[in-house]
Amino acid sequence: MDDIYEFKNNEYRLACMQIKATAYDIVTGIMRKKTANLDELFKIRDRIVELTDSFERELEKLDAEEESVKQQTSGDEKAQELAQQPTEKEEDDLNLSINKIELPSTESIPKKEKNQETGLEESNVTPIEQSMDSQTSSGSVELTPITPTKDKPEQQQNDVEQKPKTTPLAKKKFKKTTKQVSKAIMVRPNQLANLRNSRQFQEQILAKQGIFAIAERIQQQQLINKNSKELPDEVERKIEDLTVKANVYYNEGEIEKAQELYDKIRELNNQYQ
Amino acid sequence: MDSKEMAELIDMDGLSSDIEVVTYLNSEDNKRQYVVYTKEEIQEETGNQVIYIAKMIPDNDTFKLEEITDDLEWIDVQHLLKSIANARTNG
Repeated sequence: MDDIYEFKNNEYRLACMQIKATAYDIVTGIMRKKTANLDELFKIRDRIVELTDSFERELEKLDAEEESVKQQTSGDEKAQELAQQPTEKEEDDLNLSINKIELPSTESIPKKEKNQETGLEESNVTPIEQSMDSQTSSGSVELTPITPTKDKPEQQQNDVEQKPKTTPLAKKKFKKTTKQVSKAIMVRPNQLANLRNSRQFQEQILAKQGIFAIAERIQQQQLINKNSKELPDEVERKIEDLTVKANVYYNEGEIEKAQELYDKIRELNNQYQ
Repeated sequence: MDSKEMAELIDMDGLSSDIEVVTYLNSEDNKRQYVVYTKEEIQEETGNQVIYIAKMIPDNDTFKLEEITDDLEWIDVQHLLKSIANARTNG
């Protein structure tokens, strides 16, 4: 009996010991893994710290280099400005002398042959360009104060005259959505003429509302009217005032007054056409 | 001074015809716009001409035409037309 109990006890003891041993192994294994992981994490942390430190150092170096470059460029600009200031006055004197001397030589330039009337003043362009380009590093040259202004408005007018001619106005397209016939009215010829005369005015109103981009068309027509025959300044001002007033009247709902003003505008245009 | 504005009218069948845009109308509340056009239908005896009025709705590069069916709307449109057409006679 005792042997049996002892045998059983031994078995239980052995089992307990084995369990304890395995548990110990497991725990120690876990602990070892933890420590290993921790060690690895510490190593990674150290590496990250080293990398960030190195990045910061490199950024500091770059900032220092940029500052040094900026200082150098600012110093160069100042030196250039100081060097240029006393030479600008000399340039003006030189330009005058160059213009006087090189006038006959600029006639050979093919680009300037077209504008012979302004050959004198335009020929001043080339020597100035050469002198400026040689002394300054900038490629842009401000020549507008020297070039004549007489030809420019003529050229602009010519350009404006050409523009409306070359842009034909496309037909508008209206698509019916039903087969019904539109509402119709019989009008007299004078009434029809009044309605036609109001078309531009109505187009402007709809253009303001964004219905269609008719403003360009009206501008083109106005430019054509302006360039075809020049109106006196006073008349132009009157027309402008009348158009403004007409718009105001129309916006306020006084269509008749607006239409009267519009008729006056048309009469003024007809007088000078 | 005002040259005629020609336009293209496309019906439901896809057939297109040339029309003359006489003028445009804008309702008082600026919510509706109308086009007044003519097909050159002239009465020989009196010289009177037929004009058509329809509501126009912009649709990309074209305009849709919707017929006026509401009586009140048609009355308003007539008032707008009269105010423009009879401006000289009243003045």
